Amino acid sequence: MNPWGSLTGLRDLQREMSRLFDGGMTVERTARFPLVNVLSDADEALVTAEIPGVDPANLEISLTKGQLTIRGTIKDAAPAGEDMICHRKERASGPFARTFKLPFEVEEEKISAKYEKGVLAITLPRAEKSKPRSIPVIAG
Amino acid sequence: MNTNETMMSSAPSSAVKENDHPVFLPAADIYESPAGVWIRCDMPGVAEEELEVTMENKVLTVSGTQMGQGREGLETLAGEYLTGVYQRSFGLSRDFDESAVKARMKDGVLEIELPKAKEARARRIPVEA
Repeated sequence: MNPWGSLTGLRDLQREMSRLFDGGMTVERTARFPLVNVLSDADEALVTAEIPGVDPANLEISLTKGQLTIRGTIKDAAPAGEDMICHRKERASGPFARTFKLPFEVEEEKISAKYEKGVLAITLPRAEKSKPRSIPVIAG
Repeated sequence: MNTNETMMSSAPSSAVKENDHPVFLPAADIYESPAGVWIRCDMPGVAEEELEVTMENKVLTVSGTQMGQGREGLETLAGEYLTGVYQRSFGLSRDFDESAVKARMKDGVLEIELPKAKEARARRIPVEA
């Protein structure tokens, strides 16, 4: 299993297709939740995840042996009121967890996470020894 | 009381691209009670000032542009989702009082409340023996 592979799996591909060329009335769901993007440069990695409607107090991020885990629960209740009926329920809710192997060593004590507008952003600074180094070439 | 106030919901037919951003259909929950209709849409990454909620000819349309990710110079190692514009229209079976419609955004979830006018609520008709 390659957790870093992009758009692996037919369902994810279908979902992307329907997001891009939406012709239907349905919102596709994937088994994978939340969806994650990983960005990086020479100094750090940025992991972002779309987790709308979660209470940040119910989010748990942990790092064990180079594996990053995002865990949480989306508590979603019907609006308060009498005789409330539900016509449509497409939004994800309930517990979720995902674990990824990090592509390089990070400074564990310097990891920071921010939850804003339904998007979780985790910044992972690279460990000094894992930063790319350029090797000078000597003409000889 | 089981009248379906909201019928169809669809992305606009010209939905493929808007200003070069891909357009996505936000997942939605729709609830109804005798007091009103509630619609919740998942729109992560959309700032309140980027959000637009309009109602015209019994069609409620929500749209919002997602904020960018990270800073300049970052390279994508793995990409499972794209960012762009969320847009969706909901056909309503009748007009709601626009001035009473409330919309709020919290943690990437848009909640719209459409209160029913008093005269539109179902009335129980007593049956005489």
